[in-house]
Amino acid sequence: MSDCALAVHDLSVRYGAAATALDGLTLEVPRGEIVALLGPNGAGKSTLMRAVSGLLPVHGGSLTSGRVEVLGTDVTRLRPSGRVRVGLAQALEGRQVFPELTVAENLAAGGYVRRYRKAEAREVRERVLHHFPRLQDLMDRQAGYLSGGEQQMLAIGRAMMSQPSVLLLDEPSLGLAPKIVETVRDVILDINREGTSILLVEQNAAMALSIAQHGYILEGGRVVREGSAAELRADDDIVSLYLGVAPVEGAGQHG
Amino acid sequence: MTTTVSAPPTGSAPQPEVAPARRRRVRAGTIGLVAWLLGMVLVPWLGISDLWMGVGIFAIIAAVGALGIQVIMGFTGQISLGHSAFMAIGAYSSAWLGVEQEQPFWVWLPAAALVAGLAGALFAPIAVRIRGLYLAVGTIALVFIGAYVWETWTTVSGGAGGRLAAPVEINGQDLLDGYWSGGTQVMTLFQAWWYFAFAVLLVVMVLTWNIRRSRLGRSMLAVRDRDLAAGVVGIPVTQTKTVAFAISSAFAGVSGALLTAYMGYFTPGQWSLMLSIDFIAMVVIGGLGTITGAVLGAFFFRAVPEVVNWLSAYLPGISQDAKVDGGVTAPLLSQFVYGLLIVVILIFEPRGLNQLCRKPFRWIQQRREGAR
Amino acid sequence: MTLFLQLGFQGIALGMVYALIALGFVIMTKGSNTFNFAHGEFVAVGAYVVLALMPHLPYWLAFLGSIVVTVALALLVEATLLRRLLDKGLTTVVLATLGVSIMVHALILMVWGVGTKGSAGPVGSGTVEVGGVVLPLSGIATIVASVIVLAALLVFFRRTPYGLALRATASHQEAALAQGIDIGRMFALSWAIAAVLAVVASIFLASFPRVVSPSIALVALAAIPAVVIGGMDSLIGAVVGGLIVGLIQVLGAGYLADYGGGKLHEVLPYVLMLLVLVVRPYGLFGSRGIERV
Ligand SMILES: Nc1ncnc2c1ncn2[C@@H]1O[C@H](COP(=O)(O)OP(=O)(O)O)[C@@H](O)[C@H]1O
Ligand SMILES: [Mg+2]
Repeated sequence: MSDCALAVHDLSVRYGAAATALDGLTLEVPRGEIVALLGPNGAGKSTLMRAVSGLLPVHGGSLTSGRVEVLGTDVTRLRPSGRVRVGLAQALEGRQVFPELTVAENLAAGGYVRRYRKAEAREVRERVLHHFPRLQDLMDRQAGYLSGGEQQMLAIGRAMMSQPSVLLLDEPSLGLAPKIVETVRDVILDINREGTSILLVEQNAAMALSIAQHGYILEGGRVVREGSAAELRADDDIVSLYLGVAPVEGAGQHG
Repeated sequence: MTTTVSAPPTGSAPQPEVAPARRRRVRAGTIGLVAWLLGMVLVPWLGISDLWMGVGIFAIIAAVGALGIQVIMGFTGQISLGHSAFMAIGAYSSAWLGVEQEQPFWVWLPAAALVAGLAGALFAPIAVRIRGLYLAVGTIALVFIGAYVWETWTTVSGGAGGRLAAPVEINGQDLLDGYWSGGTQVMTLFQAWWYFAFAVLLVVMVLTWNIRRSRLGRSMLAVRDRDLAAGVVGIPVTQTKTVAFAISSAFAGVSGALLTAYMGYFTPGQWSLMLSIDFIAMVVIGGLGTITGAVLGAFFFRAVPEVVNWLSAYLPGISQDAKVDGGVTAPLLSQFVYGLLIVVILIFEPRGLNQLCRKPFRWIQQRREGAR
Repeated sequence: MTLFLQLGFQGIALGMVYALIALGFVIMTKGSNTFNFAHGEFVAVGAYVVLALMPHLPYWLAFLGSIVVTVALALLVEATLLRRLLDKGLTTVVLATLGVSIMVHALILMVWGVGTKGSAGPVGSGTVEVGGVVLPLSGIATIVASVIVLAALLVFFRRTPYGLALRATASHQEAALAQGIDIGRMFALSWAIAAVLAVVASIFLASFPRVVSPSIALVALAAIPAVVIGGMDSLIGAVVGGLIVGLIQVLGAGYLADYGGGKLHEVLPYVLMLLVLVVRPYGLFGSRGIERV
């Protein structure tokens, strides 16, 4: 297991007294790979992300069982800050930049846990911006005034500032024009080529499976299908269910 | 977190057999109410000392004001720290009518409600524009502006020295002298005032109960729980808040008038921020959104300082009066305990005494059900 | 004209003190989503501790000692109380800090009594004359020190990682958490900063001719209109609001002494606060989002 970048074992999550949102979920992201996590709205994708990054309490959720390992380290009991230090970074669903802060400050906040010295910070930023040439010219702009695509780039760039080994991306294509989705896809691929393992949550299955090596399909808090990206792409059911442009409305909405 | 006061859960945990459980709860509620009414009627004849009777009367009067805060905070979800200003308005209008104009209490008491209620309605246009924290902090202005007006407008307030309050006269007798019949005292001042204040409290309780069950009450709850969204589903938010402010201020006015009438004499200094805080503490600690909570909170917070005072006589190293150069005195200790109780109860039972008191009953009920 | 300059100067000095206190309120509100009604008592604790230490230590050590005590008190309240109640709603938090305020006030009176004490300022009662205008040294010290503190605060927020982390937390809590910023530590940090500002404000609030007395907390509460006028989530607003309130109070005391019982200046800030709320329900510089607190 320790050769995995991210290993999630038998994870179950509840929100308050409501029904279980994740039910005994097990999943692995091998080092250096992109793993796609697909599923309809409400399947529990974001919940899994929160469980991995430690943000469940913010949403009133809690783990009822399971273990999360990052690079072989058990992080289940760590706070979010500890997990970032171990090498995990997350770009939240819906971008969630710091709207009042400038682009430069947003990026700097992403490197907070690393306590970079000045020169170091500049160097890391250069390397990150290399993927996002568009942001170069916007450094002093308030993040709240960027376009959706720019904000998504910023959110990913900010996550990269801690130089993570494992990157969690929650629906990076959400609400973006097809052309910009292309760009985002290329950036993800680029980042992965430089060695970062990625867990990619998407409803846009076509995009995700076109760059992932492996995929899981989630419904009602359980993995209902797992396989190599090629396998999943070739599967007629999956194609008809998830590879359509629009996600299937209401499917798997089990509360 | 939202602007609005979070809704206090009502009733007990969901139970499988709804109908019988509900009937039992209603019956328990009725029994509790009857027992309380009976107790309140009997208390003056139990030989309780004048000191504790006085505390009880203060508590009854405070409960009237607490019900006002319950309407605005508990039902409508708007925090107001300006309650003491509306109490003062009730107090001064009643004193002017009762003393200068020599009107009877059945004129000055409703008038106190009316004037304070109008003042509340006048402030409402400002209050409905501001929300949450801004409202809580903004209403402080009322207390300070009020304090200035009372101190400066000496013809009404008598200045820093204070003024006489309106007397409660029944059959030409001032209740502060007790109640006499044929040369013998039928009731002492405490017994007479207890019943008078209790009667007013009952009227206000019934009013609050009816408000809560009316269409208006449902609008208030909708404003509390959804505020912005309430407008969308056809609830007149501004109007509901305005009416809630007016009713709340009217109750405050009645409470202020009663309070000063019972004291006989009052000064501008007593309408302080602390008084407003008192009432918020009563309803939050008593239990937000319920009539029982307001009454419970009022009795609790009027009793606490006296209990500490009384206990401190038995504690070593506590002197009974204030000192210029420090030291633990009884009033300071009771002040400290007062603050401490607020904090401790908020930490351990944020839903208030109302819920705390129900715990043992619920436990007994569960055991009985388990045994069956 | 001379009178006007003199009063204006003192109004600015007092306004800077209110600005420091108001900044404390705003930093706590932004950093940890609470309005701390006990902040006025923190100011009082600051002044009393400086006064208690002054006879035994050099002034600057007494000042540092007071900062240690007041920050410790703020952190204690924040950790034991506020953090637990944050998700319990606005009413609970407001009442809890009021409860703390009552407790601290009682404690102060138990330790130091109800009597009036001496001044706790760093400079005495001297004056200097500039072009016919007599300026008290305490006023000059107040303005100089406040400007230095404001500048330091600016550098802290703009140039240091902790300052950035605080601003990120205030901007978007979940996103800050996702960057590995420890929110709990940021709450504590914002309370600690507010406590430091409270101590700085306290020594100037108790500077000549003012003294340390139990009512100092109430005087500090005059920063509340400053906070509201400026906007509860605006640092600039706190400074502007503080200056407005300080100027109103001093100019009002000077020019309106013959009207309205001579106490008009005490109530004017509250009147202005209501007027501002009518026109701008979020203060002059505030943003709408704060209502969610
Ligand atoms: N904060 C929350 N409180 C309660 N239930 C939630 C919360 N967030 C998500 N859920 C529930 O958990 C399930 C999974 O949601 P989520 O993880 O957001 O799904 P996805 O990201 O796949 O759309 C859904 O049924 C949703 O209603
Ligand atoms: Mg999601």
